[in-house]
Order: sequence, then C-alpha cells, then structure tokens
Amino acid sequence: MRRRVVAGWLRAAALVGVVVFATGCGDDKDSDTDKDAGAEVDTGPAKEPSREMVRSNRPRVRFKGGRRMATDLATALNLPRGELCKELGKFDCVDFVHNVALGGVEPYELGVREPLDQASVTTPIAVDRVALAACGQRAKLDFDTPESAFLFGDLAAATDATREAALKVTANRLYDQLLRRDANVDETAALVAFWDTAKAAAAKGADSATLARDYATLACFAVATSEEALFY
Amino acid sequence: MRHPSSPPRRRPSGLRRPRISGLAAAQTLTLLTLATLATGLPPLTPAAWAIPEAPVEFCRTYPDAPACAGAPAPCGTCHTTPPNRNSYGAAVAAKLAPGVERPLSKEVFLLRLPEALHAVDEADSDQDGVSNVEELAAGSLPHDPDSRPTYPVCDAVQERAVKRFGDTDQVWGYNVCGYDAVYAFKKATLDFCGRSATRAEIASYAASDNREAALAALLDSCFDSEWWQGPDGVLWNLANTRIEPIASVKSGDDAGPIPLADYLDDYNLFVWTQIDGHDARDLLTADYFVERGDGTKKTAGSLKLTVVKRNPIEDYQKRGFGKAQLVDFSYRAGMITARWFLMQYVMFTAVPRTAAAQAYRAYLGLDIARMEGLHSVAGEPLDWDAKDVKRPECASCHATLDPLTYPFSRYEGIGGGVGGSVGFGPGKYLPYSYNPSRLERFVKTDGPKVTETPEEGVLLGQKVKDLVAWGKVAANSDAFARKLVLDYWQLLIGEPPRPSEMGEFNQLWQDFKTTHKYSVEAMLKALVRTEAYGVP
Repeated sequence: MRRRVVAGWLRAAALVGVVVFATGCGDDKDSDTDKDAGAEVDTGPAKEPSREMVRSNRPRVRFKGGRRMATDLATALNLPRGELCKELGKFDCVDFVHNVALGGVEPYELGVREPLDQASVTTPIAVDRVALAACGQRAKLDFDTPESAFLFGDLAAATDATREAALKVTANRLYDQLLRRDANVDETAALVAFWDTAKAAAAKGADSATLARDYATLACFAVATSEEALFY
Repeated sequence: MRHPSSPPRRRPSGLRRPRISGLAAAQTLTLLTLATLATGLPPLTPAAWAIPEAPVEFCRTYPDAPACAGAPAPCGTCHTTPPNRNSYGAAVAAKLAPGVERPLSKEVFLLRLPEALHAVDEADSDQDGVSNVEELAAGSLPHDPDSRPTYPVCDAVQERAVKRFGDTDQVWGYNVCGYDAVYAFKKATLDFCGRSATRAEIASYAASDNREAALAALLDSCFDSEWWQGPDGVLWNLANTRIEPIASVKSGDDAGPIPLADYLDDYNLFVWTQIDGHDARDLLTADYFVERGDGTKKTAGSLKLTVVKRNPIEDYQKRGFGKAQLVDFSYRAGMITARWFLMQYVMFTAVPRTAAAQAYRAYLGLDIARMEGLHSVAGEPLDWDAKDVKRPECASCHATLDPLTYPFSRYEGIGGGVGGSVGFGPGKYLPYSYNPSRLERFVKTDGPKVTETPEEGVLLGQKVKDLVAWGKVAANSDAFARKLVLDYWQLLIGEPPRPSEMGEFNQLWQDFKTTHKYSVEAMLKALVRTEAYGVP
C-alpha cells in the first residue's frame, strides 16, 4: 500500500509522515508486486503471500469519490454523516467546500456538469482533510468517553502492560471497520510497530493519553487513506 | 479458473491458435530452419520489408487483433524504425517466401505475408513465455518482453495457485482471469447504492446458490435508493449535460434573479424514464411531465415521482406562470419541448439551430460541431433566415443541421422578433409554447423568406413532419439507444468501450432496444454481467 500524505495543518503533523513509513512501505517487494498486479491484493491473514501475481488485463481502479468515501467513513467510524467534516465548523467538506475536488458536480451555479476527468491538485489534500477530521473525531469521542468507545476503547484503557494487546485489537478493528476484512499479519505488525515510532516522534513531555489519542487518529488515518479504502 | 456463470471468453476469430503439438511444432521449426540454412540465401535486405501496405495486410490476417481496431496496425508491430525490424518482425521475415529471390516484389510480399505471419504464431519472439499469436489476440506486443497479456497466462498461474492454496480467491482476493462475481457485487454496491458492501453482505452473496439473482436483487434495492434516483443522485446528475441548468434564470422554488423557467420538471422526467421499467424513449416522446414530492427538490418524500398531464392553462392555474409548461399536449416531445429546453436553446431565435444541435448531441450522441451525424440533404441549406449558410465552408454542416432544425422553428423560446405581445388571445403569443405563426414576427430581423421555413425537417435521412415526429424517429433510432447505453457504460466502467469490448457493448445497446424493451434497469442488470464490468 502506498499512502498519500499532505497535511501541514495537523497538530501532530510530524507523525503523519511516520505513518507512511510505519504502515505503507514495509515491504518493497510487495509494493512492486501490487503495482504490477493492477488490482488490490489481499494475501489473507494466514497464508503465505504468493509471489506469482497475475496482471489485470484491464486495471480500472477508480476513485470512490467524496460522497461514497464520506458515507463509508461515517459508517465505519459510527459518526453522523453530517458531522463528519465541516470547514469552519459550518460548511460540509464533501458536499460543499471540496465537492468538485472530490469528484462531485455543481451544475447549477458553477456549470460543472460532469466530474473532472482527472483528480485535481487539491483532491489528495481534500481526501486527507476529510479522513483526518473523521478519524480525529472518532478518537476524541472514544478517549473522552472510553466507557462507550466504538473503536479505541482498549487503547484508551491500556497500560504499558496491556498496550501491545490493545494495539493489535485496534489494528484489527480498523481493518474490519474501514476495509471490511481482517488485517493480515504484516499489516497488524506494522500498525503495532507504529506505536514506537509515534512515541519517538511525539513532543517532549507529551503524556501517554495524548500520545495514544494521536496514535489512534493517525493509525485510523493511515488505513482510511489507503488505496484499498479510497479506490474500487 | 473462470466463474461458471461467466460468458465464455472468445478468442478473436482471426486468431485461432493452430492446434499443433509441441513436438510437431518443434519438428516443423527445425525443418524450416534447416531448409533456410540449406538454401544459402543471403540475409534479407531491410529495404525490402518496410512496405506501407504491410499493416493493412497484417490486419486482413488478424482482423480482430486490438492493434487493428479502426486502423491498420502500427508500424511498430514489426519494426523498430522502419525498415529495421524488431524481434517479431525479424521472425516473420525469416519465414517470408523462403527461396524466392530478393528483393521481393510488393505483390509477392503481400501474397506470402499471411503464411509468414502464421508461421510464427506459436513462436515467442520476445521470450516472455507467451506465444506471438496470444499476444496479438490480447493486444500486447509480441516483440516486447515487458508487454504481456493477462489472460493467456491466467489459467496456468491460477492452476498452480489452486494446487498450492486450494482456492485462488483466497490467494489474491480477485480473479482477474474471468468474471469475478464477488468483485462485481462489491463494485455494484458502490455504484448503485453509493456505499461499500458490508462483510455480512459479501459473505451472504458469496454463499448464494444463485449469484445472478442475488446481484439483480441488489440492483433492485439500490434502484429505489436516494443515491440512485434522488435529487442530485446518480440519475439526476446523468441529466446535467442534457439539461444544462443555470440557477440564475431558474424560476419556481429557489428562483434566480431572472426567473425564466424551472429545470426541475426536466430532471424529474429524465429520472422517471430511467426507472421502474419505464420506456426510456419517453425522453423524446412524452406528452406529460413529472413532479417530485411536493414539487421542490429538497423536501421530504422527494423520491416520489408523479406523472402529470395538464394542458397549459390548467398548469398555469395550478403552478403559476413561472413554472407552467406551456406547450399543448399534442405538440409535446418529451425533454425537447419542455419549457427549460425552449428557454435555454430557442431563446430569441427564428430558426433555432442551437436547439436542434443540442437535441442531436444530448440524445443521439451526435455532435455536429465535431462533424458527427452528418446526413446532407440534397438542395440544403436553403438559408430561409438569411444567415449566409450557403457558403461552402458552412454548407457542409448546415445541409444536415438546417433541415434538422426546421421542426423546432414553431416553438417559442423567450421571445424575439418584432411585434406581438405576451399573453393569451389574438395577436398575442405565449413564450415556451407551440405557435405555428411564430415566424411572422421575425421578418424584420431574419428577412422575408423566414416565414417560408418549412416545419417539415429531415432527421437521420428520414423526413419528419414536425417536432413530435422528430422525437419519435430519434427515440427509435440506433443512435438513441447507443448514446444512452454508452452514458451508463461510461458512468459505471469509467471509460468508453475498448476495442476488445465492442462486442459486448454493441450487444448491450441492441438488446436495450429489443430484449430490454427500453428499460434502463433491465439493461443495467445485463451490463453488470459483462466482462467489462466484472473482470477486475
């Protein structure tokens, strides 16, 4: 998997880059094979990855577009669709502000009657914006009220002794919710290992609760902006 | 491994692999090689081989090869920089008319080329593990080891994977070698319902005994969704290029500063014709219009569509002048006589060529500006409105466009011409209505001959007495079916049909006219069963 990361406005911006390394580029051979295959490849959790890939004869991988992406994110993260992402706290990111950049149309006033032929320069930024806003909300809700947490309850309640188990549970939940499949061994390991990377990159003196919440936000962001989540 | 219910993958007819056993092929190759060596022929001179007719002859030999789609094969099929040959071209050259004195005449070259091409069908010139004929059939390059087709190697690779893992689906997640039903199901859920399928839905579908029926059931449920047929939904947006809405001149709800017409009726009619098995030809033949919910686009119950048949006076009394449809029943032709269309494309024009061109482009997929759909009518253009269209540089298109336009000339737009006043009764006219004496107002602006403009026109080479007939001929044409099916193809597959998919596409739009009886939903259920949609 390859991640697109453009996020200069994030409180923990430095960690975003770390996500890329932690979860996206672990195995060069896999990346090459993925690219050649022209289609998403799931090696399954328990089986040896096959090196013998069949190239798709007509690889037509398409961006889901803003509306599908938002619907899926809202469902996966159990958030109201209307509250997923709002610019200035008022204007819906997907339906209004970034609508055209995310593959939507606005025929009435802008004369954009068909989706843009190609993604615009701001499309990845808008995708990141929506995903990060949604993941940030989920993390905040779960860490503020861990007793009714939806995704990150184990992580919020974890101690140093139970953290690794909580990280594994979190990784599996993220794949289950966002990609609707189990994480494989490598994917789980990458997200678990990301904890140490995130910890090393955290601001000096950051408390463990803040670190865990930032981790939760960015682990969610990494999976939610994977090719598998955004394209079909 | 292919899905049992997937249609058989057909090798292009010109590319049937000769069934020669490996041993026989080796023997033949050895004998040919020995024979070539024994003749002691000098190397073939490059100049004898870069013959411009060769690509045409190549395509006669392999008519279904993707490289021959719509044009002779590219020179690069056999050459690097002509006349220098690539490895495939060199292999063909080695088999071409052995024993005949060089340089070959063009006649001999062309006569013997097919057998030389077939002689290397089973060879693998680029040593990539795929025979030349397989590469030609798949559209990959037989001289380039980095260019390989997928499906010829699919079976072998999958076979090995099945032996190793038992189930290829579990290895890759997708079956790129044939119709992948689970992939199609996931894709259809996103396309038609606007969301990803849940794990439970996928599992249930994968376990289904009748996946075709399960896929159709999914589509049926999605067809009723807000995502598909609601305001700003998929169908609604498919109408954007046909309607070309402009908020600033919208009337009715959310009216703009210059309220002239309301495009909501147009969107609603469009959506109506695409759902529930309705006849899509009503786009150009309906004498009714359609209201949604309480008539606005952002209200509860907005999926409820109702056919309304009111004459202009009734509609004026019911909805007021700003929204009323003002063409009488007997002169209506669906979308192209709707108030919005007449406002937008007839406007103030006597002979509204823009209206005809938009109808031709939006509903038949023929864009005259791109020289498409030209059926010149003898003696045309006659230039009734003094626009100087008889000039040769204009006449080539206007010989089609003008007779295409005449039936529109009796329909009022916003106004135009000189004299007359808006209203009901003698000496007055209604905008956006049918008015047989309309052109009399345009004598001062468009010349005295304008009143002689016939109402009868010509569409696709066929005479049409008025716009209602125009709509019927258009709606029954191949172009109409092809255009509508192409729009859905592009929407769902993301691009026009590739050369190798033209067979499926042509079958689809022809079935749309016959088997599917112009039901878009029936056609879509067939579309998701195509390899173009279901092979990842």
